[in-house]
Amino acid sequence: MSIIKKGVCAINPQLKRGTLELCVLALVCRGDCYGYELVNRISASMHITEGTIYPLLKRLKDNGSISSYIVESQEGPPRKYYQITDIGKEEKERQEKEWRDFSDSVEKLISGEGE
Amino acid sequence: MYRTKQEFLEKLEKELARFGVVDKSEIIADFEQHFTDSLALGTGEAEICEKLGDISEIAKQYAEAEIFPVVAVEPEKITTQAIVSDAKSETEFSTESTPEPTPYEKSGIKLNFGGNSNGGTPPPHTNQNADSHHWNGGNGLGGGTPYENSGIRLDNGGIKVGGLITVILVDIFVLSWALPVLFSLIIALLSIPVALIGSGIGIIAGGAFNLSGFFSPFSTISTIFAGAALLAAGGLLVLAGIALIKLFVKLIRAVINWHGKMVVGRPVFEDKKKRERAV
Repeated sequence: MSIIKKGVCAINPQLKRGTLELCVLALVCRGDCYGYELVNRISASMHITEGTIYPLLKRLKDNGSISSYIVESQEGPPRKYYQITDIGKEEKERQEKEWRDFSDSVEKLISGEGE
Repeated sequence: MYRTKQEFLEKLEKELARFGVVDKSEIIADFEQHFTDSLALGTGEAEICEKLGDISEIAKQYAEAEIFPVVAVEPEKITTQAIVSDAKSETEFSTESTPEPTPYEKSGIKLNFGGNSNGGTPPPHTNQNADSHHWNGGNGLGGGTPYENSGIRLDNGGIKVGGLITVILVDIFVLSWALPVLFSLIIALLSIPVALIGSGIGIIAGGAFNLSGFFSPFSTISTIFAGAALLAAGGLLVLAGIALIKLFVKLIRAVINWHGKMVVGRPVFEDKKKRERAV
């Protein structure tokens, strides 16, 4: 039933769950964006259940990694933008390093490097 | 599956209430905005609903985000530091790495009886000697690492006391009689096809041995037809009985899952496909 687009990566759910947070942090780090924008950018390269991004955003907001502010728009209701905080920047650095270490280790194991 | 924005948002609000999420109006507004943005790009409401995924799962994740909002101290960070610089003193580490109690522990909404799965295991790549001082090794009340606690799924075997009490009360006052009554009703209903099949066989046998001349005014052929009709009716009722038993098994399954949901926050027999889709 799930629609998997071409070029969209369908990876193991467990793996994805852990990395989704890093992806969101990285995107918000690059510039303020609103919820739908985030969902769209992530789902363009990863197959996700879109509804799960919103609880994740709330969690990041609650733990102080991101903050939100409202921008009035001409058409429709005011839009909520997310912005990275200093805590969020540190968190992103930490998770990014963790991810790189992890993926390097996996890469080494898969390719059989250093054996 | 939900096909329209209206249906989706109504169901979401209900589910959020069911999971006891506080900021309902803000969440609904976020999803409303999602629909607005998505519709503006020409996506149909039904497709948007499908992409958003399972509503209960979304509500559950919000509930868990409210229960575990703190990422105060990251144990993994500390262990990496421990490996990188051995110069730091031991005491410094232990103060740093004691995980702060999360609000969920303070509030006492949930008691964790599955200590081992939560907080007891240090990451595999760390230095074991350095570690032994830092982890308070799987104590009963789950000095869960905030990192793990902030995870999306509740896998720590936490038990909801309120749910447990509800389950026990319902078991004693409702299910203790409702299930046996239902079961005996089904058994009683099953006797009807047995009787029909028995009399069908009897009538056919009687017709075949041409006893009908003595006992009934009907001819042999019509007796056999009547017997066959009874047999067919009996057979149909057997099928109905099987369907009833299947329904009963489903009911039992649902009851068991409900127990799981009330007590540990997830069903006992989990639909694997559904779980994988919900990421």
